[in-house]
Amino acid sequence: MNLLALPILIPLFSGAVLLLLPSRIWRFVLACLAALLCLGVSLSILNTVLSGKVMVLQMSNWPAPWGISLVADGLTGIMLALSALVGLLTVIFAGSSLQHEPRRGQSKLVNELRERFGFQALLQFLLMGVNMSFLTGDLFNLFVAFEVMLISSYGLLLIGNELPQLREGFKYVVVNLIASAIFVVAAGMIYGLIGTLNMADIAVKVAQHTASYGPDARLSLLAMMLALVFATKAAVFPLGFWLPSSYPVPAAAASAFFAALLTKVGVYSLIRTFTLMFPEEDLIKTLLLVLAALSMVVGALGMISQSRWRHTLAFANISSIGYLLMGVFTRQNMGLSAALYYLIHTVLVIFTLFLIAALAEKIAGLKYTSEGHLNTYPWLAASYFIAALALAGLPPTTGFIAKYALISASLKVGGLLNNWVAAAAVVTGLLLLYASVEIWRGFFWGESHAVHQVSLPAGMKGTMAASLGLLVLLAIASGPLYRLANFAADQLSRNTAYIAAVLVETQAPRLGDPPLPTDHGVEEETH
Amino acid sequence: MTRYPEIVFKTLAMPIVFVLLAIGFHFFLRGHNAPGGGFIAGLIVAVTALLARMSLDRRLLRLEPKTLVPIGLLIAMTTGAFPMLLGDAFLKSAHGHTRWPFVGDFEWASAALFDLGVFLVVIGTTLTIIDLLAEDNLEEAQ
Repeated sequence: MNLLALPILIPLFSGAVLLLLPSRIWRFVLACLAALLCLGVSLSILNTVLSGKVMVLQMSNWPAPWGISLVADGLTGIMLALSALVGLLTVIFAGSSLQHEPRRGQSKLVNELRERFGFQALLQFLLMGVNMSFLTGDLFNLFVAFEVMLISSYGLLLIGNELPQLREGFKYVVVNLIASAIFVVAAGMIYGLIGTLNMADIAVKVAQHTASYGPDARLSLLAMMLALVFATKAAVFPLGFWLPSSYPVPAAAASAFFAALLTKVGVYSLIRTFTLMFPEEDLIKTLLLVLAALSMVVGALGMISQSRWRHTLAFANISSIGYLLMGVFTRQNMGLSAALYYLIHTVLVIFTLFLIAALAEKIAGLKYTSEGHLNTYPWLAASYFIAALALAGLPPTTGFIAKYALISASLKVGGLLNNWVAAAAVVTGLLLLYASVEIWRGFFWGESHAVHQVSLPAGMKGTMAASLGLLVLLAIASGPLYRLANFAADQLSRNTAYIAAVLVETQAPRLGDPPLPTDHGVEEETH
Repeated sequence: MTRYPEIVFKTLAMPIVFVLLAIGFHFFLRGHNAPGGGFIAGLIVAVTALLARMSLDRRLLRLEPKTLVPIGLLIAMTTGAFPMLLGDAFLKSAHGHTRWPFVGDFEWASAALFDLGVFLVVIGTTLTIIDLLAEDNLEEAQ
């Protein structure tokens, strides 16, 4: 079971060594090797988990509710594989793009400095934080993982010291610090009330308490606090105001990785919170469902309002978070498998689009309004076409399958709210299509003014092609992937396997283990 | 360059530096079972290094503090990962007793090595941060 520590240890090790290596080439080679190794380990974890087994590593051999457990079930397996895959592509993309100018009309010195001051090392630490938040089975450890992730993301966001980076980086740091503070307060209160921070143990105790005393407002408050924190990280509509302006400012590789994975860590934590720890909080779930619908629409509208590549795509990211949460919070976990399938799809789509944006910025600067690049870069146009279809959700792509599944799950559950959310999803699909066509019209269509072709680095083109290839492969392999999502969703909605695997040695009620303190306690005793 | 001509400060700094180093060492060792440990000891030693630099204009370390961070990380990680090679759980600590002359019974734990890593990382980070902030001020002053 020590396999579970490797997705955390490999990036930690390579990150530390990367700080010591003097030559750029060696740094690149080591980062690639580490990412490859990580991918191998993640795939083998996914493979083991697919047999229905939940893998657990009790760190330092302390039994579950006292020590920290690393746990991998189906969802963790999927997330780890995705993060390793995107991580590998990002490492290669960064290696190639950091040798060239960030965008047209800018000195390449900025990027070279970024590389020299440890871009690759920070990326490894970021991967470590991301993997740790997927693996951990302990709420406080999740906080630590978030911090590892955030501190490296502060570094990646600010490295290069460009003016917009400093401005947006400041907001990003402040927002995330506040969210982290709320998180740690919530964790403290959970420990005070429930007496444990192990997620499986929390699940057991909350279920026991709810079974014997009915719903408890204090538990709802704690769930609400966690929801607030994770929704901020996931950039759900009113809380995600920091995202559209901060994700476009760092180096292209960092933007792409942030957009593809960091917000999904928030979504992952929301899934864990509301399927494992607090599955009964229907009011909060409904609230989040409404916010999900709003995020979709607002994200798509924001996309239309922008004229710069990465700003537009940052809004597309918000919209995709809306779709994801719509699936997660559809009643009775009906949309969960659709949501997980959409998750795999959206990570790749957003990543591909950001890579395309990076190439386009090299050609014509930040805005996409320079017309006529279809003739000079037909391959880029074709790639954008496929990715945009996937984003909007038109038939041959995975976007269609995923959105169809999401909307049909929502309609199957029925009821006023779910019907409205489904309607919002359909309308958002149209808006996304309009926004994608707008980019197409602005950048690829029209008369060409280009005097000469900009030569684009092969590494960047290759990574983009690989990412697009994965997206196409996803559509072809939809059947097995949907079964995979189904399997993980099934595991999530029951959770018995997860709890049994984590608390294996402490199934029996423990001596000297007080039940949750209650208001009703006194009355109960007098009966 | 003498930026701090205060005589009291300069005279007292030397003994204080040694006392602080001793306290840091003490906190590092007691950390296993009592408040203290690598993190706190690291902070104390970092403050000592800062004091030495301010008063005596001398670096406590010959090394660039930045390099301590990866070294510390590697030490901590290797200690944590070593049990995995023996088929035990990640971070599992070994411990035992040895009898030393003069000291008597001494309990050792491999977790102390992990703490050493933390210690180095904390010193490296703190000193680097202080260095960077100080550099900025110097530039502004000139």
